[in-house]
Amino acid sequence: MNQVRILGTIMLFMAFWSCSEDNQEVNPKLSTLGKGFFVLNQGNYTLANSSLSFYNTDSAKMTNQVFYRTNKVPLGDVAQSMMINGNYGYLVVNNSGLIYVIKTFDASFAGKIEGFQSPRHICFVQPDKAYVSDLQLPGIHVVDPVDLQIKGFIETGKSAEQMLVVNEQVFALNWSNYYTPGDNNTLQVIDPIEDRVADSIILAKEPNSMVLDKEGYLWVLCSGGFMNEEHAALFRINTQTLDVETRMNFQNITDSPFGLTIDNSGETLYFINRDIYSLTINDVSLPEEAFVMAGQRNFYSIGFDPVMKQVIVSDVRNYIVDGQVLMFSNDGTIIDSSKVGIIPGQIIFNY
Amino acid sequence: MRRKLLHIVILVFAVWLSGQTIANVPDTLNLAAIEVKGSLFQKGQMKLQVSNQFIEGFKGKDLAFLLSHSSQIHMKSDGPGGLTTASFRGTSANHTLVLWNETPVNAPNLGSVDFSTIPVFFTDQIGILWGSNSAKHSASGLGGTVSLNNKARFNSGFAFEAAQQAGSFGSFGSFLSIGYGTKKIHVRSRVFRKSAKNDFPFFNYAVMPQEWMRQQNADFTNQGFLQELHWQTGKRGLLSLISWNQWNNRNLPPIMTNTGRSGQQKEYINDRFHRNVLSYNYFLNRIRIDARIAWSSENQHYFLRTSGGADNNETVTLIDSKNQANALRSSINIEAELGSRLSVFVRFLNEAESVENNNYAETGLRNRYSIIAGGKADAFSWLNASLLLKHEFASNRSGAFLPFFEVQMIPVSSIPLYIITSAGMKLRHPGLNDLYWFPGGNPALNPELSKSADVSFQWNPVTGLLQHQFMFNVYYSQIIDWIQWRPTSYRYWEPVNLALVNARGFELGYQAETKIGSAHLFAGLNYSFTRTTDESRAAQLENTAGKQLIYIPDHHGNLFVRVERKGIFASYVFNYVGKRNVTHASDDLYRNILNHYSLHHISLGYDLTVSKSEWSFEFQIHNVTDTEYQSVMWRPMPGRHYTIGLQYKFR
Repeated sequence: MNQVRILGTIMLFMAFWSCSEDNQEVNPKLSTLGKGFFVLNQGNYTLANSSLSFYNTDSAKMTNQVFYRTNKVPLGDVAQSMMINGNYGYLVVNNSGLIYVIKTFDASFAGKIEGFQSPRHICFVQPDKAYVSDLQLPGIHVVDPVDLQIKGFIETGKSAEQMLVVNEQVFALNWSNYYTPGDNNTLQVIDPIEDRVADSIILAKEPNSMVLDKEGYLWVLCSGGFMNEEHAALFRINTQTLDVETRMNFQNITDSPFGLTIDNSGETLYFINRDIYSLTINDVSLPEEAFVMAGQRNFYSIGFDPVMKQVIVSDVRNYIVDGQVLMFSNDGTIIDSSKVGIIPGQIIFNY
Repeated sequence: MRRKLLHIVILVFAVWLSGQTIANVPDTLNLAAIEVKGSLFQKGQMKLQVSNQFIEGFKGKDLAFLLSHSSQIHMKSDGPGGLTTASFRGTSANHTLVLWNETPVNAPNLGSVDFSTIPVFFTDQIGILWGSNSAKHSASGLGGTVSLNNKARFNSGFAFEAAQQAGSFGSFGSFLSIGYGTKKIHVRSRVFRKSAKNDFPFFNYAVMPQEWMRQQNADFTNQGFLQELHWQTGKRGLLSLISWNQWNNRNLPPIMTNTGRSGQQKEYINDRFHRNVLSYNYFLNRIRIDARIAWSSENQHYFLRTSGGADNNETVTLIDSKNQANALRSSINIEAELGSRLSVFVRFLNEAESVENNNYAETGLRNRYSIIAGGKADAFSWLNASLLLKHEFASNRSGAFLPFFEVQMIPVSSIPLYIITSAGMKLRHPGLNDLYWFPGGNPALNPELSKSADVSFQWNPVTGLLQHQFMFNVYYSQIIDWIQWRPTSYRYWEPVNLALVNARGFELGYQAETKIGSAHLFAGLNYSFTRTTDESRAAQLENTAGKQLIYIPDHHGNLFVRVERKGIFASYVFNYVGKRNVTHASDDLYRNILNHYSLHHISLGYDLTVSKSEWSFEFQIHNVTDTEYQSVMWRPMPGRHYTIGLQYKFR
C-alpha cells in the first residue's frame, strides 16, 4: 500500500516537473552596435548554428549572436556571405535558401528574400538591382533589394561565386562545377544593363576571391582545384581590355590559397595560404616569407580594417568549436583577439 | 490555457492514484496470484530484461519508443519514422551493439542501428546487457548491447493475432501473426506495415517571421515479414531458421531553418534488408553446443533531387547514392559444467563483411575473428567469479587481447541483495565508411578501445504485499582512440583517432507488480545520470575538455504505470530527457543547448476474452501536454496526437 502511495507521489512530482518552464534566454537584447566590423559565422552544414558577431572598435568589445539577440530567431543554416548597402546588411544564408536583410545599426530584421536554392553571394549593381549567385544553379538571380523580390535569372551556363562591379560591368567568379556543368576556371563578365554574359576569361581552377586595386586592375586568386589538380595562381587582369597581364603561379601543387583582400589604399594585397602573405600591387612574384605564421591556428577569412588600419583574420580552429578573430598591425604584430561563433567565414566593415 | 488544463488533469490523475491506494487497498494481498511476466534484471547478472508488460504495451511501436520509455538508454530521433539512434551509458550511436537472435545487426558501413525501423512486434524478448554479458558477444558494444530474440513456443497449437491502428497525421499500422506449435515443431509468420503522412503542425520559431507550419516531406512506409521455424531434433537438439525481411521508405524533411528553400527538393532514403539466421543447439548432459550462421543483405538508397532553370523543372542537383552491404556471420559456442561449482565456455566468432558504395573506390571488405574463452566459479554459496578472455582481430590488423573479470556476491544470505562488479576491455573496429569513404576515408584508423568498470546492486525483496525489484548501477569507462570526423584543410572531412573519452554515471531502476483487490498494477521506473567528456590533448587545446559530449543528456528518466481491472486498463508513460549540448562551442553562445523536455502519454482500453478469442481496444493520447520539444536541433516533433487500436488474438 505504501509503495503504491509512493508511486502516486512520484507521478505528482513528475507532473510538477513537467510544468517547469524552460529558461533558454541566454543572451539579452542589444541596443545599437556602433562602428566596427561584423563577423559572419557560417556554422556547420545542416546544423543551422550560423551566427553574426560584431566588434565595436570604440569599445574594443566583441558581441556575439547579435542577430539572435535582436530578432529571437537563429540566423539559419550556413551563413555564407554578407554585404552592406546603405543602412542595411544583406545576409546570404546558403542552406536555408534565403537572404535576411537587417538594419546595420542594431541588426534588427528588416525583411527577407526567399526562394533561392543555394545562394552564395549578393552584389549590388544598381539602386534597384542586385545579383545573387547560386552554387547549385547555372546562372545568377536578379533581385530587387528594395522590394525584396526575385526579378529574373541570368543563364550563365555555370554556377557563380563572388561578384564585383567594375566600370559598369559585373565580374563573376566560376568557382564550382560540383552541381553544374562547365569548367570552374573562368571569370565571367556580365552586362548589368542587358543581364547577360558579355565575356569570359580563362584563369586557373577554382577562382575564389578577387579585389580591385587603386589602378583599376582586378586581382583574382585561384586555388588550383579541390583535389589540387593544377597549381594555384594569382592573376592581374586589365578590366578595360580583359587581358590577363600577370600570372603568378604558386610553387607547390598542394598550395591552396584563398581569401584575397586589399588594404584601403589599394596598394597591398593579403591572402591566406595556411599562413598569411602580403604583397604590393607592383610585385612581380609571390612572397616567400609569411606576413603572419599560422602556427596552431587555422586561418579562414581575412579583411583589412580601413579605419583602424589593421589586418583582421579569423581562426576557425577545428571547425566545430567557437572560432576566433585576431587583429594584426600592418607589421604583423598581434593587437587583439576575440572569441566569435563557429566557422567565422567573412569580416564585413561597417563605418 | 489548454496546456495548463492538461497539467491539472495529470495532477488530478496522480492525486487520484495516491488517494485510491489509501482508500481502497486491502490490508492483505494474495501474492501467489501475481504472475510475474518479466523482471527488471536477471538475478546476479548484468542484464536488464525488458518486461513483457512493456513489450505487450508497446507492440505497435518501434524499438526506439519502447527503449526510451522503459530503459536507461537515450534515443536521439530526427522525428516520427526518422533516423533514431541510441546513446547507451554516455557513448555514441555506433557504440551500442544490437543482437538479433545472437547475431549483430549493426550496419557494417556505419556501425550504428536505426532503432525506428525495428518493430517491437517482431520481437519476443528484449534484453539490455552490459559488463561481461555484453563483452562475450561480437565487438562494437562499448556502451552495451541490446539483445532481441524470437522465442520458440512448442505445444502452443494454433495461434492467430491481428491488430490494426490508426492515428493522427495519417498514421496507420497493421500487424498480423499466425503460428502453429506442436511438440516438435513451431512455425510462425509475422507481417507488419506502418505508414504515416507525418504532416503534423508545428510552430516554426527558426525563421522570420515566426509562423505555424506543417511538416513537409516526412512521410514514411515501413513493411516487413518475419518467418520462424523451430524444430526439435530428437531429445537433445533444436534447429531454428529465422528470416527477417523489411522494406523502409522514408522521405527526409528539411530542418526548421530551411523550409523556405526553392528547387522542389525531393530527398529520401529507401532501405531494404534481409537477415537470416540458422542455428543449432545441442544439449548433452552438462554440455551445450550452439552453432549458428547468419547472412544479411542490406541495401540503402539515398536520393536528392532539386530542380530549377527556366521552366523550373530542370534537374540541377542529383545525388543518387547506393549502398549494398553483405555480411556472413558464423559462431560456435560450447559451454560445459564441470562439477557443481565450475562452468566453462569457449566461443569462436567470424564476421565477413563487404560494402559497395558509390563513394568507395572499390568494394570495402573485412574479416573479423574473435576467440573467447571463459569460466565461472562458484567459490562459495555467496560468492562467484567469472573470467572472460577474448582475442580479437580484423583482416590485416594485429589482434587485441581483451580480458573481462566479474565478481558476484550475496553479502547477507537472508537478504536478496546481489552485488556484482566487473572490469575489463572491449574493442570497436571502425565502420567501413570510416575506412573507405571517398574522399576522407582513413584506412590507418585504429580500433576504439574501451576500459570499463562497474558495480551493480540488485535487490529483489519479497515484502508480502508487493513484488518489486531495485537496481542501482555505477559505471566508469574510458574510450581510447575514439573516432571523430573532422574537417580538413582540403575541405572534406576525415575520421581520426582523436578523442580520449571518459563516460561515467549511475543508473536507477525500479519495477513493481501487485494486485489490489481485483486490480492488477504494474509500474517501472528508470533514471540515469551520465557524464561523458573528452579529455584528450586535442580537447584541452580546444578548450572543450570536460564539456559534456553532444546529444548525450545528463539526466534521463521514465515511468510506466499500468492498471488493469476487470478487462479495463489504463496506462501512463512519462519520459524525461535532460538538456543536451548540440555543439562543441562555449555555453554562452545561443542555441548550443537543447533544453530538457518531459512527455506524458496516456492510454485507455478494454480487453475482452471469449473462449479462446481475446479482443482488445485501446485509445492512446501521446504528448498529452502538447509539449514543444526537439530531440535533434531544429527537427520539430509532433504535439498532442492520438492513436486508436483494435487487436484480436486467437489461441
